[in-house]
Amino acid sequence: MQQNAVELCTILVRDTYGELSSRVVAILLEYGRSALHTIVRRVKIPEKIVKQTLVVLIQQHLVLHYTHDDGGRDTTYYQCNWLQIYELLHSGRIVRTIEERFGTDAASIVSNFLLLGHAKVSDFIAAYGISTKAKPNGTLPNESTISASEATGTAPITSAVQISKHIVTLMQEKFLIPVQLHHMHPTIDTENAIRQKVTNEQTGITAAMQTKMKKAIDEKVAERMESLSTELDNRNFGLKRKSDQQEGRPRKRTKISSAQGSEEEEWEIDGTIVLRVNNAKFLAIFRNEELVRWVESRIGKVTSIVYAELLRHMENKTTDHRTENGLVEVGKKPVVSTLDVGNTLSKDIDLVNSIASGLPVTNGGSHKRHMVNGGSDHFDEAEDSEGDSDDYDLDADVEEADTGVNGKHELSSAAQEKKEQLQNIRKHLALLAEDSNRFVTKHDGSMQYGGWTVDTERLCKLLRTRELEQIIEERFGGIATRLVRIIKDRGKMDEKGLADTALLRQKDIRAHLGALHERGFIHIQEVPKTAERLPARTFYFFYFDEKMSKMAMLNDFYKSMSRIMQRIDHEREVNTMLLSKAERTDVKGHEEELLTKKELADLAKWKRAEEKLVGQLMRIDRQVMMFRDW
Amino acid sequence: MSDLQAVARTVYDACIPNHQKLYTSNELLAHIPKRDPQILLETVNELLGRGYLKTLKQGDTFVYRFVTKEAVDRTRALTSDEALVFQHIESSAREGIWTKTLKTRTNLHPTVLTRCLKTLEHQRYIKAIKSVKYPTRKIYMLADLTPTIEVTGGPWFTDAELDADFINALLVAVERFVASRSFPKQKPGNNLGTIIPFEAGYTGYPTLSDITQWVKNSNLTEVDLSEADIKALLDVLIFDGKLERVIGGTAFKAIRKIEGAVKQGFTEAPCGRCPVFDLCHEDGPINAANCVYFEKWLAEI
Repeated sequence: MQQNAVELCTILVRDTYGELSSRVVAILLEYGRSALHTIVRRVKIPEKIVKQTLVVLIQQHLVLHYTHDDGGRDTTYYQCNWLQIYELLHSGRIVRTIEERFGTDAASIVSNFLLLGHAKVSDFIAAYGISTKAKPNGTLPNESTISASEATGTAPITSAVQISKHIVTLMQEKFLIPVQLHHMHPTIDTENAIRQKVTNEQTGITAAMQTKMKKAIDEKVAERMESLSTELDNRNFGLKRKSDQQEGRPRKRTKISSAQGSEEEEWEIDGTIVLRVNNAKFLAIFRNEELVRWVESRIGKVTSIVYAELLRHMENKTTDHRTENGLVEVGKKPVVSTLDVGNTLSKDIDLVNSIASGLPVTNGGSHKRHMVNGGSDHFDEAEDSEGDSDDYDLDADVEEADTGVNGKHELSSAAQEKKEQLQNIRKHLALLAEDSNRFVTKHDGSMQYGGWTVDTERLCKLLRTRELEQIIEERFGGIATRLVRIIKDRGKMDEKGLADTALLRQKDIRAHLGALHERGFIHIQEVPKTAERLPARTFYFFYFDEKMSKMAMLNDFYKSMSRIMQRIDHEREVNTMLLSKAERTDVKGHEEELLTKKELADLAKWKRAEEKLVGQLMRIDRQVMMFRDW
Repeated sequence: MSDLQAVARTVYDACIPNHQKLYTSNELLAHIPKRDPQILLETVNELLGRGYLKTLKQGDTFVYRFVTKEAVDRTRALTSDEALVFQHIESSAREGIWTKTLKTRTNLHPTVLTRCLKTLEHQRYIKAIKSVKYPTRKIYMLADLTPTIEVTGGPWFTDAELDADFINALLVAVERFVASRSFPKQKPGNNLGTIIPFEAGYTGYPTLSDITQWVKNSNLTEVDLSEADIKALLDVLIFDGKLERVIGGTAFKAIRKIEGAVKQGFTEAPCGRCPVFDLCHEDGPINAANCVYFEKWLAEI
């Protein structure tokens, strides 16, 4: 955790939950895991108030706690969950995503869960409609988004049935998950507890054997840690009851009203379980959105739509877990077939005219021709044969599917249409697979029309690289980007080698290298030629360290975000008078009549400034996710 | 030529039209009356002594080369020091010789050496060249020779300096060429303004030899560029993120450029390009509230 991240988290908590909470959080972040009395001493606030604050923070999952029961004297330690604090920034995105997918009602439910941290379903349903107004309307950084959806969301929900229906849907899609005991504890404590348990199980071990056993124990601990979370993901609705009896914690429990193969609507929700928002799921969604955007810029709009559809299927088949190193996919890579994509893809998308066929290459001479006298005739030819391009195979490996098509021309027109659509989708997917970034990978299986997998981890790495290069380009210019890419590609290089590869003069690149080195994008290794280590007799090799650059970048991001939030505060402060007037209940809605011309202008100006700042904050947030979470 | 004996003169006259050729002693013997080895010996000695002939070693045998009359006159006019210097410079051929090496080899006093070089250069016998490898060294070679690639640095160098304008112009041209081959021509009906890609498996992207050929035929430059040179250019374009390798690295394709695409946000905000970012601190003299860059940025809505 970096200093700048601490600052940002403190600001976030202050903006959302007030000064008191932020002070406690600041202390926890600064000193790390502490017991209550230590916090009280450091924060210099009465114990009672600190306790109240901690309750709020725990309710919001911002603080984790764990009680050690050693020797009868229990001590509870508190630890800040700073990643969860950062998630406060995402509330706007989360609500928007839900709104897009499930409508405003679901969005308002999710936004309420976000505000509450976690809530028991029965309480939530009972309080609905009354509590939405009474709730502390937190000044979240993206307040505007939330209040907007809240305003629209409060009215239409009328019955508890409706709410629970929405909640069931959200749970099935894993947007809401039941809170488990280990959600409230620091990971390391959970792991230690399990380790303790596992070690105790291995009775009668001598000290000599212990080292031997260590590996076995480690494996077992890792396994159990994994099962903690997979338990949640893999749990089907039917299986739930069984595992519920284990720990006596309230959990998701749904009654099966009919036996196997029951419809979704028949699931019912148990009022006693406690739900929270599943942030990891949203991170995965944001990641997929980013990948789609990338495809759009690299290949084209239509292909990106196909890709989005593919990723949507992928998303339903996997669960991502959030770890320190970002999102980790659990289990096997899911395979999505072309058929799946075809089933859900909108029919209105023009799949055909978004790819040009490059057929003439196969008939020999054209290759030479087009390089001698320009490609015009060559392309004309391509257009001529556009109509029957479906008969041409893209890859050898899809041939079997095609031969079937050519054989049966008497298919009904609807089936024929479907077939054509699938073939076109496959073309787009093949394009994605062929791209140098390999957006999809062909799955070797017997699926008709082919199955596809996506290596998100690798793609995100590439995405990061691309982003980093863009940042370098904007900051240091094209030559610096060229140099960084050469260093990355070739490994360690001295100035001369760099200059030769980059086709630039040594004296021209020196300044760029210096600037890059200063900001921590590249690093230098010195290799002395002689024992004296004279600077003149030393090789200087430049190298690129992705991890270090990533950390340096994140640190800058956090700092920049803190500054933006401070600036938002500053802008508010400057306009306090105006804003308090504008927010008066009698003025609200009648601004035109009650405010002077200057005030209106100032208000508009302030709004624009705030929008710009918040927009910028979200753009950097996207980059933080890219560098840290994905 | 009057200084030569009749026999030597005949041999010289017979061989001089072909003075680039290397003669073995057997070939010379053909011009000697009665093919008498004794006379050959005398003649060769005479010619060598007067500088009309040079001995060279080819493998294990000695060969001879005739020197043109002008060259002989030239060397004859030189002082002995100058001749010595000239000889060394001549022996360095197209590589050229560094003045410092010349000094150690000839063992002449620096002032003498400088004088010799001056006169030789003045008479256009030798010229000073610049080496890419050692830009500070003063290097001499015979005036009528062209320096080797190691000395000049290849096609990218003009006067031992990397010709940045030339390279940039070529880069732009090559990029345009590859881009024109990477995407299909827009159909007349398609006025969406978007570039559509070729389908997967398309193999019409230009290869290295295609591009080299195009550069050769395009009259872009008189400099002869080999495939290796073009590859260096393409590598730079790849490092610039303008091209990428396709079809197993054998062909090249331009990367699609989007007008007005969403860029990363960090450097667009003041902080991303703030010169005093490291000094910025909440309670410090530079902070978010009094930041002039924010002020400016927010004003330009």
